[in-house]
Amino acid sequence: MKLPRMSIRYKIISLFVLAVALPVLLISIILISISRRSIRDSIFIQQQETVARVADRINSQLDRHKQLLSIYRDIGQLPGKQQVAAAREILGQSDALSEISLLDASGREQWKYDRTGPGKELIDRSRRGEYKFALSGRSYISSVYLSAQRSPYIILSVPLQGRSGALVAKLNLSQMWQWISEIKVGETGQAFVVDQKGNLIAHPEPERVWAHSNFSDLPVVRDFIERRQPSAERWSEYRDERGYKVVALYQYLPKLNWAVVTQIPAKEVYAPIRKMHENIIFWTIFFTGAFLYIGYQFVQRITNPLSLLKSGAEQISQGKLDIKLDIHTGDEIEDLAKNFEKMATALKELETLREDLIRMIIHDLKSPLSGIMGSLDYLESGMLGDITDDQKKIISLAKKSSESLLVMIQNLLDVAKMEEGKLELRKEKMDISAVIRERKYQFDTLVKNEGKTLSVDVEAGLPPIEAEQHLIERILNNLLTNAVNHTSTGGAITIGARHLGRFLEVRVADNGVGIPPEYRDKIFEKFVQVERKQAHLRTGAGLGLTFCKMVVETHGGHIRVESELNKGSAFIFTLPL
Amino acid sequence: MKKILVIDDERPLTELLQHMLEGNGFRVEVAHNGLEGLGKLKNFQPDLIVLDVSMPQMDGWQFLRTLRASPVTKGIKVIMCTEKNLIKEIELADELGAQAYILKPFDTERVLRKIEEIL
Repeated sequence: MKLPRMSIRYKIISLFVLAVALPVLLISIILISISRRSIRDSIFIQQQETVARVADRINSQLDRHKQLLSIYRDIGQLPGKQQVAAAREILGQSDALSEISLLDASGREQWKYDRTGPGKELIDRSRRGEYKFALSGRSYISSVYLSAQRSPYIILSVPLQGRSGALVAKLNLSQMWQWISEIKVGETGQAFVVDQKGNLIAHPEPERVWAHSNFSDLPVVRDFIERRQPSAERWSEYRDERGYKVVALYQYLPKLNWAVVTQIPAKEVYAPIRKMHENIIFWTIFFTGAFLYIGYQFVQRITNPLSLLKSGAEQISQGKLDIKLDIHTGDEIEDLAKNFEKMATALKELETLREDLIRMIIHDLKSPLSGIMGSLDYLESGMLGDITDDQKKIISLAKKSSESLLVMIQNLLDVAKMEEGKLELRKEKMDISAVIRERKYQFDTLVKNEGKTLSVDVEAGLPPIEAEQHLIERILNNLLTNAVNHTSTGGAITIGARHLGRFLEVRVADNGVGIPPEYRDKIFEKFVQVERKQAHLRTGAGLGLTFCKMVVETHGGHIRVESELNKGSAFIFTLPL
Repeated sequence: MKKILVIDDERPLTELLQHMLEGNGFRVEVAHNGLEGLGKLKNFQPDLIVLDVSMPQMDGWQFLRTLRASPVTKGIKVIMCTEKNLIKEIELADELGAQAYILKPFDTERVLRKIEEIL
């Protein structure tokens, strides 16, 4: 499978994200769910303890009062005056007791005392629970009643010794309310007590009890009523009467058939969980961020030298060989960079060697050529005496060969110079039509001798161009030489020029053998491989077309060839005006 | 009779120049590098030197600098010959006080005309 192209930087970063960020995320999710559960459990236990504590306290208070009454179970056997004293004693024992009465064996009140003194209206309690329980020898706890002052109370009773009646006490629940309101359930939670029907018995806000509120609609109370478990197995979550989400638990008080309920705003219960979430999220982000930052730095450490290497390689490919790579990573990349520099240095040495070689070849070829050409000139000039026409002809043959050798050397030199970017153009205003006419004049004899024709087709009034004249002349010489070489007897060569937009277009065409399509671009390359039967494509001037292409392009123009096999070729180049 | 010193490491070329120039009425001495040229100058005071640029041991530029540094030889006229067609070289030749700069390969008649022009 082929991967889409992606820089190493992104590959490593993605790897980092996969290797670090994902596990961290996964761990934090697991952590959140585990700790959420354990925090919930611990809050549940805590709340359960609170509710149990309240229940204990209520139980113990009830027990205390029952025991208090039990101590006086023999009150019926005391003489009348001592009974009154005992009743006062009982009232003195607990602020919560508001009334003490003694029932006789028939269930009628014998006497009663409240905090103001003896009660007047003695009533018959024989149908009441306090009496009925006493008859069977059991103590009794009543439901909640409201007094005329709208304060809630319950009736406690213990059977008298010998089952001769009961000692009955009114236990004011305001005290219990006090305990309940004192119980701190979390920061803002509250506890209250309901009976088995859901009636509110105690609440930090007494008005609610006075109003005979029934809480059986609350899920937690309903749970208690329906299931009557010793304690809630799980949290009830619901919205309270003010619309806040709350979490509630109950604890059953079996002696009373009541339940203590604690109700805490969900916000408070979940605060530790939320805080933990925030913590985990914060640390997850922090660690992921830190890891990614470290990872990014790490990636930079790898990729920065890599991009340095890359730009170094680009520079080398552009021929800039004296590169110095500033890479000190102390690892394989540094070694690579060192080798890279070594390679560049070696290449540079090689390049210098090549340049030296070219310079040497040019010098060593040109100097002897100077000797040959000078000697031929000298002979031809007649300064050494008259020469015959035959001799002149031979001399001119030798001169022609020397000249083509010179052109080749010159092309080689210029191509080398242009490759090094050292060719400085000496541009001047030049008239292309004049140059073309001059070429015709120069080539006419040669063309005629070979039985070919050379015609000129130059548009009238061509503007002058800025170019280095002798280079343009050499382009034309190269192209014309090629044309002459590639046409057979009877060949027709045309050289034309015309105005084309912001360019001048020069065209050298022949009706020769043409160039096969596969060679039409290659012929401009430096050393083109040509099959033997196409050997004629390798022009006599060697680097002639390479030279032409380079000169034209250095001038800002373009060269191309149009050709049809056995019909001819046309070399067309443009030069900017 | 005007005297010419030809300094070039290409022996056939020096011989050709010597032959041609002597044929045209000059007295010609030949050297094949700058050092040899300086040696020649001790007992030969030329009016003009035809000086090649690239030569072994001492090249044309070094020779020309040495020439211009001495008051005795300072006034000798110089034609530089080089195969390199570089603006830099032409400028350098000018700067060092060469009277002419000829591109190789040259034709003999042009060299002769140049020499006659300068002398």
